[in-house]
Amino acid sequence: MIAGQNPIGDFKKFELSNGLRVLLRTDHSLPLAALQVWVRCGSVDEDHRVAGIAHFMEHMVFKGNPNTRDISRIVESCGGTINAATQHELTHYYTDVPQEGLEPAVTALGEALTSPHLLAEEIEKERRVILEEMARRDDSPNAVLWDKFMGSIYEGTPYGQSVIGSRKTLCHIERRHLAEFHKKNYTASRMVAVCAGDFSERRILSLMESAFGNLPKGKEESNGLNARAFGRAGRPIVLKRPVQQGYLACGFHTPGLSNPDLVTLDVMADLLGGGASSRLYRRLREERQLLWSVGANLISYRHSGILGIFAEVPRANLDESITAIQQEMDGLEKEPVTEPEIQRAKARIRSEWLNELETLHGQASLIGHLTALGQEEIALRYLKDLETIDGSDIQATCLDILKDKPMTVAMIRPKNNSKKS
Amino acid sequence: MILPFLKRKLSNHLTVLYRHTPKNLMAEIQLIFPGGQLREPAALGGLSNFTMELAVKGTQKRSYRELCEVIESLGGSIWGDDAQDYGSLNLSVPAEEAERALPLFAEVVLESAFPTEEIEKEKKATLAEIKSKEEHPFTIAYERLNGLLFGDHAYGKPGLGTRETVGRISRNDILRWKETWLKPDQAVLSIAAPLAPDRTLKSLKALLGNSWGRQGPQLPAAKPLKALRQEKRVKLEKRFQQAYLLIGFRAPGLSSPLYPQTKILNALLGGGMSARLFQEIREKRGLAYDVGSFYPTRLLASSFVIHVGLQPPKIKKAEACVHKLLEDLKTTAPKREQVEEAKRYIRGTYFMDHQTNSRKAFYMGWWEILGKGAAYDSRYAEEIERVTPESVKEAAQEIFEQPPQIVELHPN
Repeated sequence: MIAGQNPIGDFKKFELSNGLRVLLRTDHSLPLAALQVWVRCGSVDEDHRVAGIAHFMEHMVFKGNPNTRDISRIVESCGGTINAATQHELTHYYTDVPQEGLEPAVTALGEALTSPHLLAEEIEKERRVILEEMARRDDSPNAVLWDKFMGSIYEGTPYGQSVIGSRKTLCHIERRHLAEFHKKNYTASRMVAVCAGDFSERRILSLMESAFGNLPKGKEESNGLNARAFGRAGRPIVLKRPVQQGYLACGFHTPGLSNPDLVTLDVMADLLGGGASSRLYRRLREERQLLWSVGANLISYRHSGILGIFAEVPRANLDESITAIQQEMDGLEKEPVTEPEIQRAKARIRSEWLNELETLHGQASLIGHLTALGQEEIALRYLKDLETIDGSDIQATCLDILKDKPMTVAMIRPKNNSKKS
Repeated sequence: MILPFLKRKLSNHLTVLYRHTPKNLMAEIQLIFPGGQLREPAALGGLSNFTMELAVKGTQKRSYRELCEVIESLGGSIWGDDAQDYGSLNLSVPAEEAERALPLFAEVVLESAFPTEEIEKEKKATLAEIKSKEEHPFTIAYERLNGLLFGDHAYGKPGLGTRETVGRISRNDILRWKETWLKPDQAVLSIAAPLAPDRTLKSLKALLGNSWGRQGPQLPAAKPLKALRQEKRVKLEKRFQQAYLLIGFRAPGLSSPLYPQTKILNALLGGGMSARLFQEIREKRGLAYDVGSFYPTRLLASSFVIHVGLQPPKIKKAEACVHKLLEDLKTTAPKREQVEEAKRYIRGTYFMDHQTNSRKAFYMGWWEILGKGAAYDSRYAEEIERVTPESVKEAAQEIFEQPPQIVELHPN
């Protein structure tokens, strides 16, 4: 790395009086800052009867508090942006601001997260908004396929549940559910605040203490999930929809974030489908011209992960594409990966990291996400570990993790009455 | 607040812009030139996009596969891009590998081979992509709206082209397009990298400083746009869950004196979560999830588009609400504090978008190729700063008094 080395190593760790973890990295080269709060709760922490409540809660946080100004107004009027995302294991609040906007943003985010406005009238309005969001997702073949694929590969576990929930569960959510969910999950032990950019460390720590220090400590409760809960292949899913081309998702269970082969698996996923010279892209798209696009990546959760392959395919080639993908996976065991393949995959992954590290937002996201999941050391050692991967690691990991594992397949097949592609 | 840059003219008249960024990690090099959909022959819509896709699919020295393997082994990528007003060839690579990647980039710029088999393969892929647009309700509605706003002008056509226009593109058309528009005297090489400028500029001069053949043509006079005389409303029915309402107006191009105030107008109306559309339609009424407006920067003329994704029974209510907001902007100048907030929002988001070298290189080259000059990267914020509430009202009157063009997309 040319300048500054890995900026992730510059983050300093602090703790507020209630135990909330704070990570700060000062960088005065530009008058900007990224502020993020990661809450270790997501759809896997929900009671299935109120599926979607973590996402609903995220919406309600933006409603603010009757005694405060609207949080988006505070941030945007300083020249910043603010948004949030709910995932399976985490809820992520993030704001990027010019330096002068940071202090108001810390205060406003603290107020919004510690005491969200849960007025019945606002809840009803937001429910309607989320129903619109659901309709929008239903119109996206990729979003529909993702939910079905996750539902299949993680059948019987909370990871199989859609993050947004269903219309039925959304309509069950009442004010008391939201209040209980907030009380249980929005606690200091489950949260990490991260700030990178142009600020005084002492000043921001003091502001964070005022903003977040009154959150209850809470308990770091396990949701009962562990690696043993995962591993079965899902049932094949075939949806028929009025689409113009086929959409395909294939996947294998892999171990979660804490597994020692994480970086090796990343390299394996990349050499399979990470760039235009990767095996799947070159052989299936370029040589056999079976599909329009294909990519592979490793999706890692705390106790489990997926090596996922996603493709857009002409309708006539869907079945042949599945067979071809399976053959390439089998080939990983039989056909040794070459040194140039590994070198390209490592170089591509490293570039992705460097790109991410160019922004304060990217730096805060990398460390915040992994710290909230208890895996912050990955962010520190990843690039070093990457250097050491070689062909024998790939082969051994492949045999160990993928051998004889069935592939889960979900697809959207165009209905007969849509035009042929 | 935007970093300084160097500007050089090589002996072949290629303009080189260099922003030295010691804190960044990537080297980004973008060759931007006046191609784009604006200059496409009407019968060959999509030619600009297609040429840029194919420019990286092999050179006189290397096949596409060989090119991918060597650039990816450096952790880099080379790709072509295009938009309404320009085309570009781009290199992104970790800074320490830039020296090895630059000759590959020059090879793509000077020696793209456009192999027939790659053309055929990409033609099939592009036709499939055109077809798959049918799966995206916003894209369908937006392309239709552009058609209403700009008619048969290039801005009214889809960037990918149509089945017919792409189907008839030949290898000769592609070669002629590149030969015509990718010329040193009218292109800009924009670089942002943490590398010593002298050494990098010397390498680039050796690689790209020679003649690339004849000079580029004089840019032809742009086809004038006919004024819109009447409101038009199109109702489409498609198999989706959600309806879309798009309301569009012709809006000032980059050279118009109304450009900065229209940017403020857009920030006030639909620029973020605190903007009027979001607050009125989503926060107060819960009518929609996706609501906002946009005003893209275009050379000749642009569009001001208000978009709402919602259930069909709510369309009337949402539309009435939008018209009320537009009426307010036409009749009452926004408060000074609101305009100041909008200015801070635009300046802040613009500045934050300059963190990566990719965006730093883009902005310099883009302003230069659009005729504003790379220094406008800093002047833009100054122009925004000078906008007054009264001038925002003037822009609102100028734009919203034109007949609106409306697209409703309904689920069937």
